[in-house]
Amino acid sequence: MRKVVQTMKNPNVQLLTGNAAVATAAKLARPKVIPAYPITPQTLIVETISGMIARGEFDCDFVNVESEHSAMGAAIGASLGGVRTFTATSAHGLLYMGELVWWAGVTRVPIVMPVVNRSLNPWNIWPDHQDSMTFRDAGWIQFYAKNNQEVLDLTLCAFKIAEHHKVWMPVMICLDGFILSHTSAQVEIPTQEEVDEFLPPFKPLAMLDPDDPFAHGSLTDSKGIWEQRMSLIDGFNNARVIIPKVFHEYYEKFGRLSKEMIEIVGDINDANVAIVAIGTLGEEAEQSLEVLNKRGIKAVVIRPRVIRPFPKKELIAALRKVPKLLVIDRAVSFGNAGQLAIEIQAELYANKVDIEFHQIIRGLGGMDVTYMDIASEVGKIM
Amino acid sequence: MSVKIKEMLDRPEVLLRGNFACAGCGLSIAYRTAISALERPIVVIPACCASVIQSLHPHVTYNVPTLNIAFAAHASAASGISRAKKRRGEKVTTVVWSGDGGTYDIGVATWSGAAERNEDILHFCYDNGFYSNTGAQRSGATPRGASTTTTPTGKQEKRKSITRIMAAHDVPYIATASIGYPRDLYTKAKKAGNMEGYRFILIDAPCPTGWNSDPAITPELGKLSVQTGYFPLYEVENGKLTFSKRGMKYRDPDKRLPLEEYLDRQGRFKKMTLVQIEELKKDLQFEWDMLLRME
Amino acid sequence: MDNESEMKDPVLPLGRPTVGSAPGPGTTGDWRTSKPIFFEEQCTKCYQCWLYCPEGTIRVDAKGEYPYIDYVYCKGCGVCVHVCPQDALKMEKE
Repeated sequence: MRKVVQTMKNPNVQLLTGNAAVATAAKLARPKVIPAYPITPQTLIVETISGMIARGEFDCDFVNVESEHSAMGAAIGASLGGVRTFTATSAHGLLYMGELVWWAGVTRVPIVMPVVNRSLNPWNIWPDHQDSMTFRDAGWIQFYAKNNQEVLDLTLCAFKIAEHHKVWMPVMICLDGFILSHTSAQVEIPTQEEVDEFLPPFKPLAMLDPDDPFAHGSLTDSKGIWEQRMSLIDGFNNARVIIPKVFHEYYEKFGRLSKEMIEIVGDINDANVAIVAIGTLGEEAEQSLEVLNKRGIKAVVIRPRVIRPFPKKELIAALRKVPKLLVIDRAVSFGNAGQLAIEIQAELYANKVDIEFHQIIRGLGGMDVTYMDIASEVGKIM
Repeated sequence: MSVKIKEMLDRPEVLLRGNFACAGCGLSIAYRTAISALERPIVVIPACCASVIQSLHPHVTYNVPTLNIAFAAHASAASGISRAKKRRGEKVTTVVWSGDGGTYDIGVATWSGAAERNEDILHFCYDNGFYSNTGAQRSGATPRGASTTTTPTGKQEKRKSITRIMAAHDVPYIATASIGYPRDLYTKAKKAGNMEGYRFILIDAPCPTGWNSDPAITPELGKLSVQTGYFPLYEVENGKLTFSKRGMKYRDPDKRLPLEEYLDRQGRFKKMTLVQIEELKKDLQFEWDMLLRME
Repeated sequence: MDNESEMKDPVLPLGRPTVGSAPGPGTTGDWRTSKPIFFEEQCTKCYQCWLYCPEGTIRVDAKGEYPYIDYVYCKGCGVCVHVCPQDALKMEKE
């Protein structure tokens, strides 16, 4: 990644929290309706957006709904009403809107929604991935960001991907609560003109219109459900192609993001071990490489930015090159293992990859996971 | 002034024949009448009988744009549509069409929020006093004494007064109407359709299947509910209640037909004891007394 | 499948307004056990039958015309017979 430093030549670098990066990206994308309900640690997103609208900087309807269930309900209505639509939530908010998260996913409503990752019960406001992982099967594209710059970049890409007519499905951008949401870092902000060139106006594939009436999501028999579910599978397959294309287009225009759905840090062709982790755990793992190197361990970090569609091909291509693997999950599928570990194991088996597989679960309920912790975990398996 | 039938004949057909509704469906009469009164309606339908009678994808009986949404998401989804259409500069009438389950029970939060925000939505609740599409379970709208599949010995509690709860939101327009008087319903729907903000119309819609009544007398039951004082007809504007012409005389309990004429025609009240009937009568008079205070 | 134009388009959950939308052939007249018979000479064109017909199977082509029944879809509920003030409609066993 390029170093981004604010200079006289480069005035568009600002110190932004992850939440401010989300709000900034949202504003640049020009959605027309944002229904949202506040929840820690997402609150600063709705507050910042409300402020932008109140100051006349952002031409958009902010709908102060009475719950997350209604936030997603209104988002579905607005999107099908024919405008670009955005919302954001966290943890319990995501669970409470869950019925409608599925509704938007399986009936193909291209909403963009950052999820500021936060642990679930008992009360705890700190980050883990249990909330968003619970919805990885809901028919949404899922991104996980490693830093505030990637939050902004992925959010802008999310609109273009969601609204691509061969994809046409909602996108969740997951960012770790507090670690990103409330921590300031340098973020390079593109200009409105640049974003307008990258992201064309919303062009609905289907819109509720009295001149062309249809019923959306009506009673459907098994044949119709089959047809729609198969189409959703096709849509995700299309997304596997469209996502890297959009990322690449973004790279060409803004010099950030690569065209890959996974990011590899370190020399994959000369590594004894790979660490797979998502979100800020992935970035933390990057910091452990130097420590490991000093200990004579040549490690590499493989960080999927995209979890849905699952970047199977890219992961397998990378993992074929390493003899050993440690997967670190920040969530659990209770009764089995970490979700990432489960899914990677399945691909390793299906592709007959000969690799020594290790998995750990760390960082639940916001428990700190430092690069030294990661280095020590890697050391244990060497 | 009630509308002339000729005006109604000229309106577009919004409910196409050959659908999934039971014979003698009160909801169908309500829908045909109310929605046809509106200009460019877009209708949001949560889980309810209206989501069943629309028939099977890829066909639909409704001849207007319809968004099916989760049980407790009708008014929120409509808020989104209404905002989007204003943003697009399109003039439409955004409608919520929900049953009593979705309005009295599971969907209270969503409409209460939308009403508090005074979203530009016309909300119809067709009220048959129970969960009809899942097979006649009790709802908050079920009157005391009525037997349902979850209150086999008769409901123990009073029916909720949804219009008074709605009135506490001080929305621009509230009305009640019955499918027994379609022209009154049409007139109120048209009036509400020409207003802005959150508007609510509660429609008495008999359900022959769930009420165990003769399908042929669906309209008669709609009339009897008004004439016996079971279902008062009125409008509330700016906090002031006005009884409708059709229902005005039933303010006087002596002018009402005996409640038993209404109850006896429905299987759901067959098992009611005399004590339960007296309790129900007290509930109904209590509601009248509360409404009279709002006049 | 890297070529976007070869990619499949999404199948959206859209139903279109249809007369006879009920499952199967959609001819809900098959549900009837009795049917209403219309006697034109008794009719005063008050259109109460049209007004109350839940199904919209009482048809009126234009103002001033007699109503008629679309038996393909009429479910035989008997509402029209019940609301007719002129006895211009009667139920008959199928």
